[in-house]
Amino acid sequence: MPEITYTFTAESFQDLKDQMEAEYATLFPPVDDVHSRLEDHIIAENEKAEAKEEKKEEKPPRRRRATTEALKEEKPARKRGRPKKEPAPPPPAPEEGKEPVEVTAADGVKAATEGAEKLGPGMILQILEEDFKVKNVSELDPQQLREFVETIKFEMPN
Amino acid sequence: MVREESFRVQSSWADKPFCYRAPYPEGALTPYEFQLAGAEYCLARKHALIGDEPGLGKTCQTILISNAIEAKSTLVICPASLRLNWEREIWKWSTIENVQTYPVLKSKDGVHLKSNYLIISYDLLRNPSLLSALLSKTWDHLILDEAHLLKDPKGNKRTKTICAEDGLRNVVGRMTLATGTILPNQPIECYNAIRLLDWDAIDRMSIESFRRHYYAEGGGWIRGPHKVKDKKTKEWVTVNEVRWSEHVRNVPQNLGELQERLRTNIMVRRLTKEVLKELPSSRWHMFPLITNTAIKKALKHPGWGDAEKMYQMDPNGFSGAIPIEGAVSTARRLLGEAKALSIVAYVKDLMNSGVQKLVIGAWHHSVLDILRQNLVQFGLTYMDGRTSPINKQLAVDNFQQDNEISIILGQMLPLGEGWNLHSAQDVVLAEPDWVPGKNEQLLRRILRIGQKGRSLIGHVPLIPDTLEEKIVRRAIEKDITIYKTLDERER
Repeated sequence: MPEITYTFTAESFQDLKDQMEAEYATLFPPVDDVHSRLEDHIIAENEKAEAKEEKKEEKPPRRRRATTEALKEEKPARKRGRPKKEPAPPPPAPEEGKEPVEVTAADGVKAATEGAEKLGPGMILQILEEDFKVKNVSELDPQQLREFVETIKFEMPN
Repeated sequence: MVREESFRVQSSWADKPFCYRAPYPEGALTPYEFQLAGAEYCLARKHALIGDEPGLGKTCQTILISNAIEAKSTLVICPASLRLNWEREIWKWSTIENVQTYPVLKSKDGVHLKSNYLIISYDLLRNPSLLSALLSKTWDHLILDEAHLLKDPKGNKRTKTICAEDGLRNVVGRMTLATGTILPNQPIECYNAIRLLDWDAIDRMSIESFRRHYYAEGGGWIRGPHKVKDKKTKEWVTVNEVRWSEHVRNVPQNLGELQERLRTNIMVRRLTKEVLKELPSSRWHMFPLITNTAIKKALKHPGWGDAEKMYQMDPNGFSGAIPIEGAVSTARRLLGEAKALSIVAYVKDLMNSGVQKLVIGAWHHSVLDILRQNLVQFGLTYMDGRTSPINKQLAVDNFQQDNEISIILGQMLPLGEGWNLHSAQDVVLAEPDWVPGKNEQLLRRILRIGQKGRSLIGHVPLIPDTLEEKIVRRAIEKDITIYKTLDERER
């Protein structure tokens, strides 16, 4: 049987290829398009989800039941409309080998008496009212008590 | 020239606090403003003395100090008869929740070192086991009630237990003394208290320096060994007897300066008339007794002759505090017994005239027995040195609360210290004391916070134109001199 030989040139081969792809495209829709829509859908869904999450993050986190006690403590301050106190500065580092001495009410009274002796009772009452907004040493907290004693020491001569 | 008072001296008179209010329990009870001022004065000093006149609530002030320093352990030393009274006051004024108090009633009870307040009498401090237990820990606050009991300049055992270098003063953070009669008789009697609280207040004077500074020389009776020439043998022999000397430092001087030192450094003292203006005035009423046969017989006792000689030589220095022989004591007892029935008659007159409640004080058991037997019909409670602390408290409670009981009868010393007998408006001194201050103490039992009467009277029975009348009159007048030492104020 005689052997048939097909000779293709480069151009004919390219034409044939184009023709076959066109037929294939009519029979089957292009797969790439399907993929891209699906991908678009997934991306869109992801973006929505991310957007939701971002919105959630913007809202204050929902308080847990465990924080109830903390809430109770904050309540009176909110009712009275007090501005939130700034966190107290860390206490000064103790000197080496020395512990900070606690200032007691008795120290406050002693300082007030010594101050009244040297500066006059009016001056002590003025310090209490203007610097600490109180009328009695007993209304000062420990930090204020320390400041009160230091203020009087500073004001006193020698 | 009138000198301006320093702020420290002014604060010793304060009737309201300057800038500190000691904490007290929230409830129906509120301390007076002058009581808060007293606590403030004490807090401003390391140690202090509350010397308010009797009846102004010193107990409350000492507890306010414990509250202010947040004392976890307070040791209270007081006369035996007042231990239960102290416990009640602590329950009333302490800010410690469920405060634990432990009054030591007998030495075999031991001490409870973990209680918040341990209450012990001066007498029980003499027990070495109890004392060593008390010395084994550090106390935040030591309160000495009726602190004039530390007055002995020579330092008796009680004084040494507290004031010695290795005594209780060594194991306490803060000391507060309370007494309305820091000078029962003489300025020297406050030396121990000053030295204990702040020796610098008197420039660290020794007791001899103190005596030289605050007493001038005058004549007086002294007891001690001295040499006399025996009339028979013509030889000098040493004898130990009471004798007269012209070189006794017994004339007080520089009292204004002493008061200023006290008030500047350690003592807060207010007067009833200045801080409790709503309280009624009090006065002494001397009433004469008819001289019956029994009284005449008692006045013939030789002891009166001895007392008469002493009195003639030194009327100003004469008091029950000078060394006297036993004969004088016997003479006083016999006179007391002879007067007792006359006093019963006087008391009956008082009760029939509408007196509702009456306080009667006497010294001798024999006199107290006569009064007790003859006055029981009015409803009577009784205490003397032998009565247990619980029964003393019961006697006071019954007198204060029970309308059926009209008279409280007792020995001057246990009845005169610390009690609140404000339901009565009359006091009868069946046997008035010769020592200034003691009679006043009894009258002050009724002149106290809560008194609602309009006028308070101290009735003093006297036999006219006798030595006793002179001595008692002088003792009561001398009270005025003592109070001047503490209270005279230049304004």
